Amino acid sequence: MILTVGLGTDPIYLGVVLLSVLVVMRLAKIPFSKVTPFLKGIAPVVVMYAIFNLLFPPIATDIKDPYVFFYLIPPHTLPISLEGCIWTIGAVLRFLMILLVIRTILMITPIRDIIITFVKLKLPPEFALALSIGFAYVPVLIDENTKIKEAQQARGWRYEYRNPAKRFNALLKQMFVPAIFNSMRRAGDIAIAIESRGFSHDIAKRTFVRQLKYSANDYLVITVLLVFLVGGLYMGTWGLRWASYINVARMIRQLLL
Amino acid sequence: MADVVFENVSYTYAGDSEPALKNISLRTHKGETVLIAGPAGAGKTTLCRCINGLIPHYFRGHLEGKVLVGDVDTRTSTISSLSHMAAMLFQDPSSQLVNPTVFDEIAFGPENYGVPREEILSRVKDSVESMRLKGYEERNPHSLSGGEQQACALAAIVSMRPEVYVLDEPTSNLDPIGSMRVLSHLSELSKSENATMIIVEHKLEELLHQVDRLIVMQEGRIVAEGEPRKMLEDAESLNKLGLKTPQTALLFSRLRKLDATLKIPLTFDDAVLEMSTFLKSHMKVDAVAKPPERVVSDRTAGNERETIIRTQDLVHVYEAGTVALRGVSLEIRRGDFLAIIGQNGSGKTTLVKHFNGLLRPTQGTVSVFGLDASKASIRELSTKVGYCFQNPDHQICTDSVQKELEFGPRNLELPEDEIQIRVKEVTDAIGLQGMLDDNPFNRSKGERQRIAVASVLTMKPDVLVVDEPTTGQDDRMARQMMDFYTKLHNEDGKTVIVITHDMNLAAEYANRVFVMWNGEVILSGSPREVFAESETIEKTYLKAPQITRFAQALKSFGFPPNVLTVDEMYSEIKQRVGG
Repeated sequence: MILTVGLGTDPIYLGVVLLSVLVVMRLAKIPFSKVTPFLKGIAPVVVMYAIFNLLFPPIATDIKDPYVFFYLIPPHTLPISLEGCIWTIGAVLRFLMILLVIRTILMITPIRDIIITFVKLKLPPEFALALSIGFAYVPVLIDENTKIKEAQQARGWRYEYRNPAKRFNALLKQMFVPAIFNSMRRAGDIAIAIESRGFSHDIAKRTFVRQLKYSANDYLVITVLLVFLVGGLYMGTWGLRWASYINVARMIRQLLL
Repeated sequence: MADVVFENVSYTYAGDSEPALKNISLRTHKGETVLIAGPAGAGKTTLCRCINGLIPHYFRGHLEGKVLVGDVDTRTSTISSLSHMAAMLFQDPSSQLVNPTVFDEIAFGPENYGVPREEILSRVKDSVESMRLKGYEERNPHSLSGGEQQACALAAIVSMRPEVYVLDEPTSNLDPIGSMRVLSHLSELSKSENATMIIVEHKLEELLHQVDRLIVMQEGRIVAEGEPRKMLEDAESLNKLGLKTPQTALLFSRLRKLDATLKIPLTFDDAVLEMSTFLKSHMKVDAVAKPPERVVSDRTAGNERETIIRTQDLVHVYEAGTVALRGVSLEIRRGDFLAIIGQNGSGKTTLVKHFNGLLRPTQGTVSVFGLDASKASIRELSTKVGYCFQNPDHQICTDSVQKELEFGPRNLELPEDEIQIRVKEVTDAIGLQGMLDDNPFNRSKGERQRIAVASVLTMKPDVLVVDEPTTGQDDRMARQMMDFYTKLHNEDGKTVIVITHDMNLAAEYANRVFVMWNGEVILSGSPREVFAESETIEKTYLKAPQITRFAQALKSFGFPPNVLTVDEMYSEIKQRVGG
């Protein structure tokens, strides 16, 4: 629901939606202490995303005469404009919102249920199994990466370089080589293990023990969500262009002048 | 009922010149338990892979002869249909658990075979109960301990209701507590089901008494086969083949040369009973009166040597809140050959990671060669304490052995000629000549392990820490590894710290032993002092070497409680019976 309504680009509007995500997280009793490390982890990505949006906002097609504060490379290259700033704030809010929504879904929904949903949607079992293996192995991979890092550090290796290129290079060489080697071998082992448990025996006749039964409430929620989706698309993208950053920019511009 | 039949089977993996199996003929019978033993590289795993069709359908290579499961020729069937009759359990539990929960894991096999839902639910319930996994149904299998993981993997094939179980080293990756658990599950399974079991395992001591037939393989062939008791009469030659033969069997097969009426025991209790009867009738009268006053001299006291590592009230709490160390105070002296033993999770690895700065104390102090290990950099400490991880594949990160050996010294920014001198020294010491240009990933596991140690040794550490160097290896390879560390200890003067689960190796090689339990060092001293404390050791679910426990069980005959080797026990007995 939140995702679809988030199709708009108006920062005030998106701010309200982001708040509603936080309310949902509160309702789901997710402590912020579990979210902050995640936010810290993605902070660099968000900053990069912000800078990129600020430098290259798609405003040229929307606005003929943007209110330019200054040019990054004078006289006329890389303008930093009021509209660009507002667009960027909206974009960052939307980005954060999407990440938080996904995070929330993963935290409050058992992986198992997500997988059964795929089965229910009649996606092939291979798809669900791949996803299931992916999730099941997250703790294993984290543990393995720690070991690899420590094994290199124990031989005097450093990766905490200031220079991101140097840092990336060190990580690439000394972490990824063993990580990839181990992953490839594990992939072979897993293939053997699932084959030895009859996975490809006769997929069409496979039994699914976990069953997902939709109740009336589920159908109600699905209907409401579909209405929101279509409505959101109509409002934001196809026709009315409500909740667009352009309106906000216009308002602020009038106030400024 | 499906018998497994091998008719003159030979198999060569694609790319290999030497066959992995050479002319194997074998037939198992319904309900039979067959134990396959033999050194690494004997072809045991290859044989297992032939049974459920992984060979020839997954592994490419050249197969001669015929493998039948029931009346089905494996060549004309598929891995999945063969696995329904002959299910396989693998060595590493973590690479065979593919579902998000224990429940789904156990249901996975029957689901694939289209078993009706109600039936699956009842099978899962059965398996959960018999493998003691109740309450774990909704957990991620990978969050369980090693023993629990393997119990889950076993439950997942039991639920397939196969006629034949093929179990390829099911306990090799587990700690003592975990392997005890899995072995007891196997024993119940072999009693309760009338399924055939084919088990590849190094731990003969715990299994032999419930096995109908022992098959010994070497270099792709079956070299010996028969009823276990009969086979153990020549325990020494089995031992020479790299089998971890029970120490009591070794002892009895030697004593049989003195008295051929002695029966080879299959279990520990049998051995004690048999020996008491024997001693009662054969022991010289004056020997009974002799009290166990003789304390066999220790390999070292060594208290005068300089302390190089010292911890004081060391506490470590992981970020997640797990208390891994609860106030450890210890001293390690120059020239120690120290064995740290304990279950997984008892704090062994956490402890040694403080010695080179990979972990920092939450409370308490660690001093390494006078440096404060809570402040000194890992780089600085790594030149004092070299740390070799259990799995060499977590460490090897270059495409040639030469580069791998240069890796450490280069990180230390040493001059080029110094780097080359060190590489040369270590190459000669470890015998890596001729493979310097090879890609380490193409070498065997044993060689990769040596390369990994070599790449730590080029850092020239005074102390070498090796984390479970012998896990998953056969007895002969394990001894080769230990001999190698002994050489570094004796000839190069290294202080060696070995983390191990193998009590026999700790007893034979170390001059000091720490026993860890629940984040504390609960026993420390020479192997003789430590293993004499059998009650404390048992509290940690570890077992002193079988021969030590044997002597302790016979203490009424005046045996000392700290016998460490079969040789010692042999001469103790000989003293008492004369001859």
